[in-house]
Amino acid sequence: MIENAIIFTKEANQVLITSTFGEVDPGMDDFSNSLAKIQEIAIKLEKGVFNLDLAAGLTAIIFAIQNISVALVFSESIDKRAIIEWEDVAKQIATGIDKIYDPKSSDNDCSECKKVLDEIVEWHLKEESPIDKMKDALW
Amino acid sequence: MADLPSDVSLGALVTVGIVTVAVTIVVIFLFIRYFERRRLAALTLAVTFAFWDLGAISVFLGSLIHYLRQPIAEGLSQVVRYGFNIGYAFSAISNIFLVIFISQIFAQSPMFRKTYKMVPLANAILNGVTIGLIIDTIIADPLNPAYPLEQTIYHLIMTFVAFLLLLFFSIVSRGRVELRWEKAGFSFIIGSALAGIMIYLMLALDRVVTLFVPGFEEGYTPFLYIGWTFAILMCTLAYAGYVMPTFLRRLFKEEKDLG
Repeated sequence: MIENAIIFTKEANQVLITSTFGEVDPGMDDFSNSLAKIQEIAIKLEKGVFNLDLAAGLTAIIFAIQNISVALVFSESIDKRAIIEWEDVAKQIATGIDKIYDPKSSDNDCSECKKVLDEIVEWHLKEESPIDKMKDALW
Repeated sequence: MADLPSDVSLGALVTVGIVTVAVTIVVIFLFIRYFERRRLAALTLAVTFAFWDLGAISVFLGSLIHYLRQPIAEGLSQVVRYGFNIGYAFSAISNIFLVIFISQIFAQSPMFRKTYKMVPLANAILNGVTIGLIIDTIIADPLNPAYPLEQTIYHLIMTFVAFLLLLFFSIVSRGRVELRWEKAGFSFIIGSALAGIMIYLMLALDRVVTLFVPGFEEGYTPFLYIGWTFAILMCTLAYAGYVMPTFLRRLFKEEKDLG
């Protein structure tokens, strides 16, 4: 149900990387209005989580973590538990990117940042949450 | 230095017998759950408790045979010592499967993403050391194997590691669930893990007191009984937390969920 992930750097006031996991590509023309709305909030948001309803039933959850904002776009609204789980994912992404991205340098390797983003999100999608696993296996 | 007691007390025999029955019941329920769901994590957990059960059975059978044959004449094997040593070896195998279970259920955690299967593998090797130490002990004195304090402490540390992992991840997961019965499930698992730690802490204290405190040279200090009581508690909480029987689920379900 996650469609894409977009990472913003607050210092540069721009999109650092995007990655598509579903059918909605952040680079699509149809998504440009939504992207502008997400970017506006992602850059302004100092810390915390912002839940943004978008066109076509999409929902963006924006997590502001230090100098990075992680926006995750879903095909439907997600519940509180899922937001907490995705917040963890966002924190992992921010930590991973923080290790390799220097906002003061012009020599950043965005492909490495994308690799970090993809690895973390794909792992999260591959492995179910502990609660779901407990319900599936035992409860 | 004092050694393990040469006589088995009836109280200890009965207590270990009760523990054995309690673990066996939990194991049966866990295997029933596995055959209902056919999930690998359920099987891993059932195997974890099955090995712990084998440990309890070893201690019980060792104690029973010893009790029936006592007083043990010099030159004859002190069977209870085999029971304890083999029991600890099975407990070490149980630790291995417990960490595998944790890595299956909590696989989403960054710890397991970054290390893949290294954590359960390293844990298996370190618990293998316990088994190696036990084999060495038996080889050193096949008739009358000791159970050195270092082995007890080492096994205690390995058990701490396994249960602390379970505790940490269960506490984190408990904080994320919304429904009361899910919270209750993780609470029971947390309680079971705490009781698990207390078992080995008490058994280690029993050895320390037996070895160093005058008047307890005969063994079977109160810590041993407290330890086995924690084992019964661990089984009860494990049954509630892992099996989550229907009556318990209903008890903790919110009214909105019942509809």
